[in-house]
Amino acid sequence: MRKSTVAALALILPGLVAFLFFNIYPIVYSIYIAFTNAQLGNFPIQTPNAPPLKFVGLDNFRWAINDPGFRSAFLWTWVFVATSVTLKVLAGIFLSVLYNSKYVIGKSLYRALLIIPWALPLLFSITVWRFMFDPIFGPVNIILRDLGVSNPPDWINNATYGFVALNIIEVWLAYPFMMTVITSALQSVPDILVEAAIIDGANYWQRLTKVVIPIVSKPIAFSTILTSAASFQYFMVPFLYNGALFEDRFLLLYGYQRAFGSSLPHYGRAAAVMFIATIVLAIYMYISMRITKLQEGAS
Amino acid sequence: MFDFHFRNRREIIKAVLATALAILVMGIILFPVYYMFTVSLKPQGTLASTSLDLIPDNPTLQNYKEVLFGHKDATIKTKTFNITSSKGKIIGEDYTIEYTDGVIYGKARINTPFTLKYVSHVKVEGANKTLEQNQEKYIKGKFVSMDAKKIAASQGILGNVYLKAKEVRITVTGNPSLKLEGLTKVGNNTYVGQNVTLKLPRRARIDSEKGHFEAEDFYYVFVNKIGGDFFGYLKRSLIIATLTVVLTLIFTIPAAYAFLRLKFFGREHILYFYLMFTQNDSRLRRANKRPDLHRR
Repeated sequence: MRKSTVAALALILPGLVAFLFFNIYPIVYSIYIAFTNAQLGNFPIQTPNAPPLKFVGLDNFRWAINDPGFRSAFLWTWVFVATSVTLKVLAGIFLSVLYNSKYVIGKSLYRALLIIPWALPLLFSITVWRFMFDPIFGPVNIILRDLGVSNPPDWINNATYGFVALNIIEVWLAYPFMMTVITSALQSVPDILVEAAIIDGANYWQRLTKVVIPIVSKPIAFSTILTSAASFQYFMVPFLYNGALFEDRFLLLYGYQRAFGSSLPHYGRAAAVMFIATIVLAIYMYISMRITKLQEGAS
Repeated sequence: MFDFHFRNRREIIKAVLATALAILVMGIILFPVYYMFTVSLKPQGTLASTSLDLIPDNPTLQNYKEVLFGHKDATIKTKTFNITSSKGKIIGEDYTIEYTDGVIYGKARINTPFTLKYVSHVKVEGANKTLEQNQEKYIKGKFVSMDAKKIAASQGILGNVYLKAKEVRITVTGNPSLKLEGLTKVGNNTYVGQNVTLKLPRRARIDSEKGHFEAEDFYYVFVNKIGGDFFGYLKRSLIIATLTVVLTLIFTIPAAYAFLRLKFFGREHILYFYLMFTQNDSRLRRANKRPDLHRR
């Protein structure tokens, strides 16, 4: 070997070993777990009364497909992706257009303030929203009661209203990202095009939907794909909001609960759920990238 | 930032409406953050209110002080004691006394425990201080005095105990053991009096508000520090952050140098492998770790 190769390897090796150990090894190991019967009693330490840890092939995946909880979580996760992404995109477009309007005085100040939710620690935001939606003391229900709703919904313990609340929270958490991407795109729309449309007699709505939004469609598509991946991986918010109630509504939460939230943890099944989620997300991302042709041009 | 160049009246009206809408929308969106801030300024115990107050009535930094520095509670066991308090309650076996500006003093037959919340100005004489984790201990001393927001003897005191108060209001049941001379009867079982001294018979439980506590020849005084480990948490967070940065740099700087400056076999391959896993694929790899992808 050349001298420089030896030197280079000596320099690279520590980092590479650390990378392999802390990043690649856990991934490979969790995939391995997905094909075993790892559960309470035989993992990580074998106890005498438990079935021995062994390779079970595709049993965990078969279990997942037949499990009503998994099916429900899978379905509801896509429902959540559909609803929350729609809301996020609409909110993002609305806010960017509003805070990019030439009629709004002091818009850069408002934009700066509206980025605040992005900078807050996630844990803080969730705590705040849990308090906001508290059925008795929460401001949401206080306002509803003041408006004359005698029996306002329980946003935390009712699955349907809780789902609505989670959508609202996700929109609140994600709109700064959407708004930032779309606003920067809107600012690059040439004035000439808008002025030409005005001369042609297009009204505001026509200018917005026929001229401006088509021009910024690529950044919108880009942020939509990213944010839908985030919606698919929605875990922390439902987990802290009401982990037990939303167990069969969010795929990652379902996987987590199989491993750590149940009295009879089954790590093999949990790893299988996570593995399926990862593969599904990878396929989804690949297809979306292909459909929107994002890789071909600059986004 | 404020660049108006509107041509006519219509444009000005549009600007006013659009700005009002922008501010309203911003207000609604940022309301949770603002509301949480007002909650942090509310005095303890008022958080659970069922009405919406946008501006807190009695803003206080008490919560911040509590988080940053915590407070001290004390447990004292003693026979002789002297409690000065502006307001309080004494609950006996067959009577209840509500008093204002009173002094409770005397000598209990046995060493009696008192619990004091939010104590300050602790002064102890004639006893050695021993420190144990968050507790200061004094055993058998000559004298102790301190201020507290709440002073209670919930197990009751038995002995020669007196109450000297500016105003009292007493509710009795049956034929009370308490001597009621010099008091005015105002209700069926209710008596009031002013500037009175009462001897408290049998077992009397004390529950008094903000006041001053003194005792002589006490059996023990324990002062406990409650909460307030904020700087401890901050320190640990900083240590972890520093260690992470230092370790990352130790591992990455040599590798970065090698990739940049040295030519060797496999350079492109390893670099590509890194990029694969840290850039392109990061979103998938993070599936199990970070659900909040868009927050990067």
